[in-house]
Amino acid sequence: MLQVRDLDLHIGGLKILNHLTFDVPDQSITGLIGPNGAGKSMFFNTLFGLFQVNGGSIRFNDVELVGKKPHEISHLGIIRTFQDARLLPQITVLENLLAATRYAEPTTLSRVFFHKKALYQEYLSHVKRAQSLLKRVGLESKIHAMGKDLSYGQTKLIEILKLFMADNQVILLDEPFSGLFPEMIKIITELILELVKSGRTIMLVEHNMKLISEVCNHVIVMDAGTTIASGTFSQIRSKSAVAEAYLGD
Amino acid sequence: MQIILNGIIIGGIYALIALGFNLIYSSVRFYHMLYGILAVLGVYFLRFFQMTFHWPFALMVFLASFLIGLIGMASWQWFYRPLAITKKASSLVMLVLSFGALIVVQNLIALVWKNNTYSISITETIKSGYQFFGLSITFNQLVILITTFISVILLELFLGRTKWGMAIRAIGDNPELTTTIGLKTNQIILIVFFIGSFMSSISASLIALEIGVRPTYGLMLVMKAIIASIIGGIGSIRGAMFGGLLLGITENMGIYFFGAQWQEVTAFTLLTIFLLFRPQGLFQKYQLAK
Amino acid sequence: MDYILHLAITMSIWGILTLSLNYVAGFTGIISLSHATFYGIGAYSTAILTVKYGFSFLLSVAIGMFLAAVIAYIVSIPLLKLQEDAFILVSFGFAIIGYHVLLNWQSITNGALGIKGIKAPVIFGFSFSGKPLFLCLVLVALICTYFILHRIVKSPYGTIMKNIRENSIVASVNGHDVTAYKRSVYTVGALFAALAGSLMATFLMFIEPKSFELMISVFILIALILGGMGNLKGSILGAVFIILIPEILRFVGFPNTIIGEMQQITYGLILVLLMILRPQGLLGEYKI
Repeated sequence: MLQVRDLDLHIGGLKILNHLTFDVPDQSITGLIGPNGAGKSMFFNTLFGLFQVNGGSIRFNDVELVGKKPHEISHLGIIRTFQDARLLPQITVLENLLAATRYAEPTTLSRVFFHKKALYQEYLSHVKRAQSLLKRVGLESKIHAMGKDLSYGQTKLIEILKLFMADNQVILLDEPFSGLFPEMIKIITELILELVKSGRTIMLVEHNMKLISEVCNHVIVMDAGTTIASGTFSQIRSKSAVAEAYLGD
Repeated sequence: MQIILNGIIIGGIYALIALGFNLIYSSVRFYHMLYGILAVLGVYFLRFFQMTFHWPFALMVFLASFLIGLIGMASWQWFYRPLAITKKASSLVMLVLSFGALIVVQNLIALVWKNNTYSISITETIKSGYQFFGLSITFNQLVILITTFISVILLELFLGRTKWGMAIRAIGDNPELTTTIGLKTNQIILIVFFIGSFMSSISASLIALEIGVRPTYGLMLVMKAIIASIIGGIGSIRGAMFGGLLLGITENMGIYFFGAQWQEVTAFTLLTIFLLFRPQGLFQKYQLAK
Repeated sequence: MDYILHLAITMSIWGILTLSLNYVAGFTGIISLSHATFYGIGAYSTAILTVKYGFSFLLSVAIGMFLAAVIAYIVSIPLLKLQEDAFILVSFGFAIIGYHVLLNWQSITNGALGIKGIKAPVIFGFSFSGKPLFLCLVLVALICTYFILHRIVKSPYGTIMKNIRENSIVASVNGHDVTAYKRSVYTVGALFAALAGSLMATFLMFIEPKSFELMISVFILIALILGGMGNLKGSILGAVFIILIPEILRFVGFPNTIIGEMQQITYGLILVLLMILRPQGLLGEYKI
């Protein structure tokens, strides 16, 4: 369970997040919607410790995330994608996937030199996993291609595969569908649903209301850095404040 | 007190150098390393004028600095711009490129004028110093102080009161801004390069009055500009001034307490302290550290 | 023959230097201009310990490497707070401090006079005097350096290094402690630079602060960029070129009085041209 309470983030006099409060239930997809500039991506950044908050708390399974460093938060089992999805350009697709992988023990120099065998066995199993994932989405030929040489859609797809590699409990997705063709949206939706089925918790920022209504069990509406509504999609659709702020019709 | 006065004099020059550097940095967002050696080149021009013609000193300084200003503009137009704008090179590439150019120009100067230290003087005869409230100040130092003061005021007036100055500040705040008050971005950058280089040459001439100049000082000067800028808060005009002054005073304290050979070490120690405890500098404008 | 051996030894030592900078800059993206300092620490450790205190060669090398690593670790704490461009310049500032310490801490380093009479290395009673034998020793050191670094960069550790180079925020979100890795990488780089220094000291038999001045850091970076970042073989190629250039200039007929300037002008031009035409260098796998 991810609990956000009274989260405040002020940058240069602007209240980016203003007493943001909501819960994210386990093993479900929670949609986070709101107009541009509502603070959705900034919330992801804040959760990952990229900004210093001015107050409030974010608790995950009763562990306080505020004040932790990004890698510590990652170690608790949380991962995110970025809105401007870019693979690391000058390394291969395989390396991109492996970079997101967690090893049983931290990869240190002493492991490289003194526990070579164990490390490499684990490494090989990760490589196999990466290969089979790529094969599933038909990108096995791209395994040694450089990150920068992939198309936009392929980049978005690899971003999702990274989530499988990382094997984290909570996944924050920042507009995974933006700018994609319908076929690609279908593939990615299937992958995301599979992640939830295997017991993961997902938070999804998305502007496409049709997709939100299809995949999300729970929706949170944000505006001006604060929660203005939450509930199932049909529940929030009926609220007039939400319609005014965002849904339009 | 005498140490602080000397510190203020040197610090004033550093402030001037840092001002020009910062001005350029905030409009192009990369470290213009060539800046230091162009300043030194200005002194060599000045020396050349002094030996060839016998014009008034101020006129020759102006002329040499004007030339350097033009060279600065040329460096942007034909050297940096094709890479920075046309090829969209990263600031890191620009830094390395600029460093390479600095090495080339420095050694060209060394080839032409030899690797010796040259000092310049305003008059043939050494004028005696002056005494104020028990502090002594030489004629040269007085000139330095006054020139620094006037330059800073002129720059402030220019940036604050004129159309061009406002455009320059606007481009510093928002580099993507393409047209401000009818001036094209490139024109503004050219003006910035001219002013920055002009000021650098004047400040290098002032340094030459005090301690002389040699080709390797180009690197030293630009490093001083960078230290002062980081201390002051990079991208901030006021920061550059205070950073320069603080650097000058600290260096002179360092010289007094530890000896002249530790001057550079004092400068970088000051920088390190700032990086540890106040990485954004005195006047934060752009976040520098992660 | 003697001349060729001399060149080969210098190239090999520079190979170690360039490899170690590649490990730091080419694979992890920490573009450091402080390498000459660690090179100097190694050289001075060996020189002082063997000449003044009669330590054995191997022990002096070990102490030099250890000292360089400790200093690198301490220095990395404030330094690595900076982003790339600022980091370059401030690491350069650290090299300036290092140079002034060598120059001015006269009771230990003998100041500008340098240290004379460094003996050829003796390992387990076997003396590597004479250039052919010394070349063998240096080559062994080069090959060891190559394989150790090769093993690291091809391992999962290397994947993390490259991830940090490409995007440190993504690396930290991926769960890697970026600061800890960067410090470790910077420290290991310093370790091997110190090894190169120790070898250079025993080869030249005389060292002075000038051999470790600021420009040396720049030259190592030029060798690295020329050979290509992120490719270990490229580093050796880069080292070969950087040593050959002054020799070629001499061969072409520039008089000795201006060879220093001409050499630096050529290096500077190489840097400029590389940035304009081929930022990844000859064999590089990474464009800055």
